[in-house]
Amino acid sequence: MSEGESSGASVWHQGRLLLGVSPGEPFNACERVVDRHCARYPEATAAIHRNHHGDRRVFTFEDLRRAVSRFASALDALGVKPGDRVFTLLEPMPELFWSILGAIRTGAIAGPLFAAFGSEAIRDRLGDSGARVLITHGRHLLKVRAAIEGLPGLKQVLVVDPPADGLRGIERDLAALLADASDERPPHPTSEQDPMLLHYSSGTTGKPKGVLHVHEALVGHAATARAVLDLRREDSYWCTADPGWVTGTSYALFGPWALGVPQIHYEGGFSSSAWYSLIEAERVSVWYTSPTALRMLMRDGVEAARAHDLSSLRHICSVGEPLNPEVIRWGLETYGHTIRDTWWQTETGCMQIANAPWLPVRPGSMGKPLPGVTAAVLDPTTHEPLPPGQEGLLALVPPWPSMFRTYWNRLDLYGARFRNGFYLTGDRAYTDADGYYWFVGRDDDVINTSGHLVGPFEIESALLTHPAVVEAAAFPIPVADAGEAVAARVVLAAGSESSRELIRDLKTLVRRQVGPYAVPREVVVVDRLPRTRSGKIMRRVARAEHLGLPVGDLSSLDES
Amino acid sequence: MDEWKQKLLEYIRDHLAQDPSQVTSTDQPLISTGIMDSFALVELSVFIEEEFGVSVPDPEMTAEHFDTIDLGVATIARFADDA
Repeated sequence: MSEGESSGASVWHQGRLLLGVSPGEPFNACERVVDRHCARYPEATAAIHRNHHGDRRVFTFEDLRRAVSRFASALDALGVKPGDRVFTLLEPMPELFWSILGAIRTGAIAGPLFAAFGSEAIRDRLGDSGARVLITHGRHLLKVRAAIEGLPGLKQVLVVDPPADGLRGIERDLAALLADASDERPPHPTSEQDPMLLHYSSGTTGKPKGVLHVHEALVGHAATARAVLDLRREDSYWCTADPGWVTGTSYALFGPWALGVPQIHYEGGFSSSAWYSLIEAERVSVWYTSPTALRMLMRDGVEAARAHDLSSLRHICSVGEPLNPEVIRWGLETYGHTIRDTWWQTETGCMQIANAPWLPVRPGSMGKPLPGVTAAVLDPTTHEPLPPGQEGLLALVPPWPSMFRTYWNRLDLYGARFRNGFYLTGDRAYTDADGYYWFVGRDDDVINTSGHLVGPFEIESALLTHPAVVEAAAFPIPVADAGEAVAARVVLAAGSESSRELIRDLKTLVRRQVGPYAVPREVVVVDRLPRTRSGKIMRRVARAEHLGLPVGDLSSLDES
Repeated sequence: MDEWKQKLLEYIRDHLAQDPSQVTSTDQPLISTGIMDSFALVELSVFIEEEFGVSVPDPEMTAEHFDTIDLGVATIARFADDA
């Protein structure tokens, strides 16, 4: 660690000032992001919701308070108690934000799921968390019904826009429940250490793990929304992330609303003209997006951007995977601003290392640890800090307010993330002589595809559900535009033959069971997969064979 | 062209759409509405090459060019003519 990394006032201290809470003072995050603003400016805009049909709805903080109160009292009526898990499977529609905050208002734990998740991904998460309630949309009922069969803990499925052919079993019409609910439901008096949010994160082995955050995480959201996103109440702010992923809760819900900043929620898919039209129409000033989106916009060319008035933009940040220098150069030319990369994880809860507004950007670098964050690059064996220039494990010194408190039901795995007084991030990095951090890659088999972390085990499990597949290995491969894609090698059962249709079916299985982001770009049928003596598939060797790279010394990998 | 449209519709409906029942016509927007995600463009590119023998350059495989099946087929046709 070089000197000066932790200099300046801690951003966490600033976060508490912004929230108006002292260390240890109890608060409910829903109260801090909603009710607090109603006392001072109830008619201020909280959210502008737009969809792909061109509909535009504006909600004030008072609208938000009444809506989340109704959701909370509807959950009361269903018998939801503090600590119960309330999950959502919704696109970023108003009901999604109200559900998450309504659950937190009651003291329950909100679990937002990405609406495009496949049936197995939904089932794994609801089952592992013991979710009591799921709130979803009528259009997802087909896969939800497949996902929840035999989940005894799930008591109710609340449905936005129920289908014409009706609801069955534990399904209830959400609108009917809300019609009877009170819009004056006070926040439950939680402590700052009570749990409020459960996001699932992929690891090297096994199913995704539930990353548990507490109300105090809001201190980190508020602190970084101000320090890095530079958000002010007069901004027009758009975070393009979906709250099914942590960026969408930390920065498309909690952070901006903690500061009383109006935000735009867009319910629609990607197209450069739709996105640029939205920035132009809403006079977006601060924009938080991803390298994948920026690369797609770059592909559509400077002309597509020039066709719109984007002069309202004053600050652009990015998250999810390293931002390639080419995109930064293009962004400067096209938007007139240096796009600032930020680094953090589901487990960290908020930004830790970033190209903060005061920092001169070195294109391709992660930036520097924020004031109050102590980071280091560790020797993989001794877990001792390494000097600048040497590659090792990226680590952070705990604790910080938005640090995850456990993996749900997996305290053993949680403990394994801490060594020698450091939290091990699972990423590899190095520092330069001036204290900038440079991302190298993952230290495990987790695949970062377009900013989504996906565990190889989930993909392999989906491939193995096909009767023709007996073995599967999934791993990352580099792609032309500087990101990673998923690839898989499979061994077929005797008598099965590879065909174009089989490969298509395998990709579709992954899409339907895990989600669209996890679909392998390449699936190759092979005669055998490399294994250790104990029979474990060696994904890194399979990857090396796939890419035609030297396989290296197998003895060291043998039992890893 | 109509055969291409029909094949694309079936492939998108059966393999790429979030909810197959939402894919009903060749002029409906698919990506900007979220019926099909932009991740699907990579698979679509492979399908077009395998089924139609047309290689659409990567920079042309955009959400704008493939938002509807009609638009997509027009894009494919441009590169089929070049062949």
